[in-house]
Amino acid sequence: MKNIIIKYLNILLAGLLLFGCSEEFLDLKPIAQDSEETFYSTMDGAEKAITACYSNFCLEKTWDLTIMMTLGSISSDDSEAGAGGKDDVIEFQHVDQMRHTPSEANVFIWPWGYCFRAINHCNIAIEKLPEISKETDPAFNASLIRKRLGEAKFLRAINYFVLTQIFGGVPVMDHVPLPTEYTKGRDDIIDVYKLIRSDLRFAMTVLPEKSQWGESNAGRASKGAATALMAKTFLYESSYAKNYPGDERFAGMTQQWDSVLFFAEQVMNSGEYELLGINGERFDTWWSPETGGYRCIFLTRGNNSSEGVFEVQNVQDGQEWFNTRGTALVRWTAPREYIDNNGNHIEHGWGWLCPSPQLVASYEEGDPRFKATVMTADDSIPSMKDDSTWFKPSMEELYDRSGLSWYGRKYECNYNEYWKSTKTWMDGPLDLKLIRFADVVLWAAEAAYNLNDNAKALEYINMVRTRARNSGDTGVPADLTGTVTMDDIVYERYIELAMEGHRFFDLVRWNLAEQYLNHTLADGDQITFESPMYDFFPIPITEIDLSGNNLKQYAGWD
Amino acid sequence: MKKNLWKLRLKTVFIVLLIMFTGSYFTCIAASGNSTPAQQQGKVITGTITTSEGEKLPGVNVVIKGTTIGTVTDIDGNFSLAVPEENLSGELQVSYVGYLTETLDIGGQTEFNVTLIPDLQQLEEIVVIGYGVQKKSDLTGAVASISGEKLVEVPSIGVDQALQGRAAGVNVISNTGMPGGSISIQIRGISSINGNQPLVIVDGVPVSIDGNSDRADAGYNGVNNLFGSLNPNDVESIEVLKDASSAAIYGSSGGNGVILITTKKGKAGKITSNFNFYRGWQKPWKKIDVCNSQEYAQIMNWIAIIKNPDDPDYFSLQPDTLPNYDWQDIMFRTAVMDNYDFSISGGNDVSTYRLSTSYITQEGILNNSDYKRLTVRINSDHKLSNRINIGEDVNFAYSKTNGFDEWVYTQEYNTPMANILPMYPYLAPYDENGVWTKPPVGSNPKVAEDVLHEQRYRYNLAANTYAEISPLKGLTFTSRVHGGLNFGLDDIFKPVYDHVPTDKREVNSVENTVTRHLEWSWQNYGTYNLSFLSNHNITLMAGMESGYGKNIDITGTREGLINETPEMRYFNASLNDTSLNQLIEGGGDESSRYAYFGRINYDYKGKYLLTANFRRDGSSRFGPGNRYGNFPSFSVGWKFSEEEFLRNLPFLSFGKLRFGWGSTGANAPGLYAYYARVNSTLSAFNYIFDRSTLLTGAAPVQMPNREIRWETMIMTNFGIDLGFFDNKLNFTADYFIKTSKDMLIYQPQPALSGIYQYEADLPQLGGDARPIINIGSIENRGLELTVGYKKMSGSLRQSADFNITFVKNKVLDLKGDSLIYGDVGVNLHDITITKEGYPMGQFYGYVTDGIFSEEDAAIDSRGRIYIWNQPFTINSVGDTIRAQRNAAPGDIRYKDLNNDSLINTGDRTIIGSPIPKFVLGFSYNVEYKGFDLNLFLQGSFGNKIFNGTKNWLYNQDVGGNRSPDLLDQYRSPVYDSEGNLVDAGNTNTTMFRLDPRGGNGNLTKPSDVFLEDGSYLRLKNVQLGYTLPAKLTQHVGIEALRIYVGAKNLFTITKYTGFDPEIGMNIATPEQQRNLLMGTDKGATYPQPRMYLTGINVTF
Repeated sequence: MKNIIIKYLNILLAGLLLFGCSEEFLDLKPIAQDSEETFYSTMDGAEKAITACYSNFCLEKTWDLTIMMTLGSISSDDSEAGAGGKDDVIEFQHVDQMRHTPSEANVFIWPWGYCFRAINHCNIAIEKLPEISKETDPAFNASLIRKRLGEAKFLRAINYFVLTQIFGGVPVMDHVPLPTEYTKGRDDIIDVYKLIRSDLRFAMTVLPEKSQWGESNAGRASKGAATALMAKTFLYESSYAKNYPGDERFAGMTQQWDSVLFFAEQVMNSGEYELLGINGERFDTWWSPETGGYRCIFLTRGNNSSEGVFEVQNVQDGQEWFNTRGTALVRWTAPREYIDNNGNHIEHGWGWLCPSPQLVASYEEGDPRFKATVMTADDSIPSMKDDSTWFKPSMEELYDRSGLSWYGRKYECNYNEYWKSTKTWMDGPLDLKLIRFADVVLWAAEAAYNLNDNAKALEYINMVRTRARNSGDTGVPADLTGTVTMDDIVYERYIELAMEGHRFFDLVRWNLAEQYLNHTLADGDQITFESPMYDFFPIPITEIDLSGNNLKQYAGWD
Repeated sequence: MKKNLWKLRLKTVFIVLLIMFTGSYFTCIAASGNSTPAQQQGKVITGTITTSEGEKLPGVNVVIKGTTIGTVTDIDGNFSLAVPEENLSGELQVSYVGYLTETLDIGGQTEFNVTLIPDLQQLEEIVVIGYGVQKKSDLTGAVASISGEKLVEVPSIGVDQALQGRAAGVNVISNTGMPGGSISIQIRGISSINGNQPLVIVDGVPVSIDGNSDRADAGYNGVNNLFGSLNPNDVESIEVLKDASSAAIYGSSGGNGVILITTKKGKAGKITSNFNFYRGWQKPWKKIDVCNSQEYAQIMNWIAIIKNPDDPDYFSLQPDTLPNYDWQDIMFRTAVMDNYDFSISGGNDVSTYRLSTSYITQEGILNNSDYKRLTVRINSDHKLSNRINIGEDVNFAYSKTNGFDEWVYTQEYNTPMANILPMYPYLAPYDENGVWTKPPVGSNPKVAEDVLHEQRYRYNLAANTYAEISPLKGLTFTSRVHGGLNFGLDDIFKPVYDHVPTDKREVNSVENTVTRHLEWSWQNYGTYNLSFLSNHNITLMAGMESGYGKNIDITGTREGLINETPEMRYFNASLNDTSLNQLIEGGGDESSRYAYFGRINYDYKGKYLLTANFRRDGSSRFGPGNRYGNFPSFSVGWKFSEEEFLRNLPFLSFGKLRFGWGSTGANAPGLYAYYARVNSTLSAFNYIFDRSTLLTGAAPVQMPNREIRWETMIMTNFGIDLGFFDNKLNFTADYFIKTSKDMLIYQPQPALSGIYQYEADLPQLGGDARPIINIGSIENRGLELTVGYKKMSGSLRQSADFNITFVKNKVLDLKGDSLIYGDVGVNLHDITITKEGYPMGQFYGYVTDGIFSEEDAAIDSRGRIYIWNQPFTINSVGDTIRAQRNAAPGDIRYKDLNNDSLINTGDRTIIGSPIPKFVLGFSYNVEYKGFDLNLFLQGSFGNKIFNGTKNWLYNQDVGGNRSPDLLDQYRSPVYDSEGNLVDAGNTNTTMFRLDPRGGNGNLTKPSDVFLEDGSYLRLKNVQLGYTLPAKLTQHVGIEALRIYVGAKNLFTITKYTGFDPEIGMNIATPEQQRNLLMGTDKGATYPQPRMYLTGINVTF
């Protein structure tokens, strides 16, 4: 018996000893997951870090729905919310009606939050990639790492730029912040521009041109994209300096129209881009086997075309629900109802981003850009049922809800492309053209106008009008002649870039928003736009609280 | 010789085992029936067993010592036993719980009238505490004890369900009514936002070692939930350690209370078999009122007139000729549930054993949903010598759930429940060709039901072995090794179908998710009892425990199967090799823990009691600096009834005062909060540069917290136990203050930190990225009262138990934050608020003040109607901005609480609490001449429910059926442009207006309009049974045969108008937010059924 006791005690003792080294037993590192300490030491880690920087463009709601659709267009006079009426995504409606507040549910939180998230991804890459070497990875490729760093810096720049368009000055953070830096306050817009320009200068030096990247890297940031964004920062600085003299928000800014022209012309003269279909080329698309250039830009055929300077790559990857690389705009902007040949009403899209009555009334009779932008009750669209028959959108429900009679069609797919193969509602395969060539050409025209170079201004505006004209067969719009006026530039951008997310930001930098935006919405509400309050959107209230009130609203919002 | 005997016994056990596993139930019965000794040579002895008070004792074990030959006494205390020839010289052993065992020589006697003497030692109820047992009268902590008999009174699938209403301070709620659905258990209020599930210990071993899944709700649907898959019939007793002084021995896991389950064991003596069968018929206990076709048409036509009085787009079908279909009748069914349960137990002086198996098959009240479960349990205990005991217990459970995943039934979007209520009442399920009818908006709910092929299989195996050794008197060492394996398979097949553009599938697919959970634990502890100077008694206990758990999961999908027959629903049958959807995903995590613990129990003269516990816990969840936590506790008691001056009070039989204090902990949610991780598996990080190849991206998904440490709960408990009239009447009261400190909260950081995530995107972006920080504090104060009455002698035996719990919850500290949370449908956002100084998860919204009438209306210069008597402001261009600028007569008037003349989010306030003021349970049992009746009532009072169902059935702007309340909505008279009256309106009502445009936000503003009183009292169970006279049944070898009928959820008294006032946790919500959304009825939840049942229980 004693033996058994001793044996038992021995086992017990052995057990205690076994776990005497409990420190090791309890030290379990994550499995099936990488840790920050080791991940960024290889070329593969670098690739993945950069890919993640791009992925933020595809976070459904942010770049497509919020920045481009709502803050850039619905806010302005080129489009209205439409959709399911006044309570449908109420914060988007508030922006449409200029009734937004700093406490809107998402519309300001999304761009603020997700752009800073993207900036952080870029900061991680910019900090970690230079640490990779032959020692950490035998496959180390210095020139590729330089290119990847160039991409990260371009992406940091474009995220910062869009933040300044929306919010004005934002905190500049050129490294992964320490917790003590999370509550940093606003920097002036010009200080943000300084970081953007230093990033772009680096990117312009190391990045290849679009054609050098080749089709297999069509979506990557290129030298042309960096140069164009550089031009855009000078365009905005010059506009603010010219139109808001003495405004402290724009302190330190000067008119540098020559720089705008210089960088824009660098893009134009690079030979990398052209206005799609400027010579009257026709393209075979689902819309028509003879589609004109202007319309083609907005079809899947126009993804990564010669028009694209920097595009968000959207494909249908069917990754269910949110994790998609597609754009939600296709579903959001499609007509709410179709009428089939039996007169049946068929539920379809969600009817957002409808052309405003002002926009519809502004087109020159016969401008091919009208048909490519505005869908009227007389238009026909591919059937829900098969490919050969075409049917009509129903305007009834839209009219009931928001008093509008037109849908937009710049984000339109046909049944086969989208409706038939769709995996989720945000899986639209259309690229977002963050910078397209016509936009760059019009910056050059605007710069030339401001430099009193009428010939050049005329030439560049007419380039855009020529392409529009050659996209159809009406001979409209004719070339402008004589002296280019500011109204001509405002008009041309309004029509050419309608509902692409530029109008509101253009009106603000021109200080013309009060003039253009105080109109009546189709459903009878009067918009009251007041400068300077509404020039920039308010910082979300939650971010102000979290910053310990270090972030300060601009006048009017505080 | 002894060895051989031992072998023989093992052989018998083995044979019985074989019979059990291979035979059907009925062969089992037959086999067991045969085990009753047949008539042999020898003689029959008879007798009566009585107490010293002359009362006849039924159920007494009468056994020939050292054999398995024996019987039990009948209801009149009589027995009759055939003694074989060779045993005539043996001894007769008479034993009964609570009495001293009598051993008598058989000799030549044939008549034995035995008087049993109460065993004062044994009469003391023994309760299980952590790593030991204690006399109930010596307890100084707050421990509730529930006997196995109570648990099986209400027919329940799992032990968790059976606990409902049984103990004060233990609040059990079904999350859904789906078969095999999950349960939420709260012990003494909500002490953390991170889930409040108690630790569950079965026979000394936590049901799962992995920190995440050792909670009762872990892996709902029973992935890791052994607790829910334990057969209630296998349970001997349940102890709930409610206060910190008792739970602190479990340290960091005891913070939310501990449920100790002791399973039934074999007893020396005759082999006892028990067979129980019942069949139940379940139906929804309630239907929600929706419009019939005519009412629906009427409402649609009113809406059309409001939209366009000149050319109303009338409901085009002829209302009078429309058929009517009750979609709730179509989609619900009378569902059958069968429960078979069989057990056999026995043993001798050396070995005891118990084997049991149960099989449940339950149809759900929604078509195409059901549940099956098989359990097998084996345990045995063997005395190797006087000093050494070894034993084992093994539990296997297999379950299969058919239907949607449970969370689908609790979210209000595209689920069967959310589609049933709004289904157009004039539409049949199928047209004349058997094709689903197409509703104008939404989907026919029959589609989801018909194309549903989802099976979830769970296999749980838990095995323990133990050894107990007593080298010296009073000293015992125990070592227990546990191994567990939980295996899950979700098998989902999606066929091709085409219903409407938004509800169709053009490629079929098969999807399998395999989850494995592996674990082991080992505990070693010693106990030493010591008495000195005759009046001082000390029990010392000390030991260690370590454990490890690992989870692995893998999910794969293949599309484009050769055909859709069940035989082809495998990956190899796919013709499609290219789709990006066919990615395989999976992951894993592991955790370990290690602890030392000890306890001292001391009493002086059995009157003055002291207990002190200590545990030092280590866990892999924390960084090296905070890996360990110390959890001390102590408690004292005074049995004042033992004092001389109270000893002779005629009515007071027992009295004890208790006080305890202790500190327990709670684990961090998530296993790796300490580590900075980079995630390269989320498709949200991927990007495509060439329009075809998806490149993998990687980024950090969570901000690490290098300082993370345990959540701590400090609890103080005052208690009193009283017994009156020979303990026939018992009373227990406890008052507690429980304060959680260092509660872990995902702490929002400015977006500049780079970790911003929108709440709804969390799963897609890899879970909550915010660092989880120890900052919060919550307090619960409560009072628990339990009254029990028991009279178990005479022909009329009855007992009654009543318990009631009052808990007040208060958030003490959130570092100034308010957690505003919760959506219902697409219309209502942020319906609850959790902030300092208030209870958790309070309903948050606008306060209403009736509706505007025609007298409040005026016409403005543009000819539009507005409400003149409301607050307004003047803006900078001189326009008048009214607080409710789109309001018209019939709209709700909201109160401008902050007096800024605007109605906006600043006017929202706390409008009600989802936390009940008190919950209660009451059970009553009576037995008379073979009849028995038991009733069980359970209720919750003083809580509000946010009726989301009502909100979406009021929504006038979407298609589908609505609430008939809309018939009484306010409608202003409508004239067309020529001035003709087209609708006379309905202005004599208090119900806000019918307004398809919803300009005033009546339905989109969370307001008190949607809050309802959630109090209820429910007759959870009623059962009437009859036990056949033993005289009749013993002839066929049956000791007791009881037949019974009963009903579950027979009635519910409530003012609540939704499906069910018992609102569980919304498991479609991330765990950290469920507690912030209590009492929210999203309307899509699978309702709880009412069940009628009949059954039979045989003991032989």
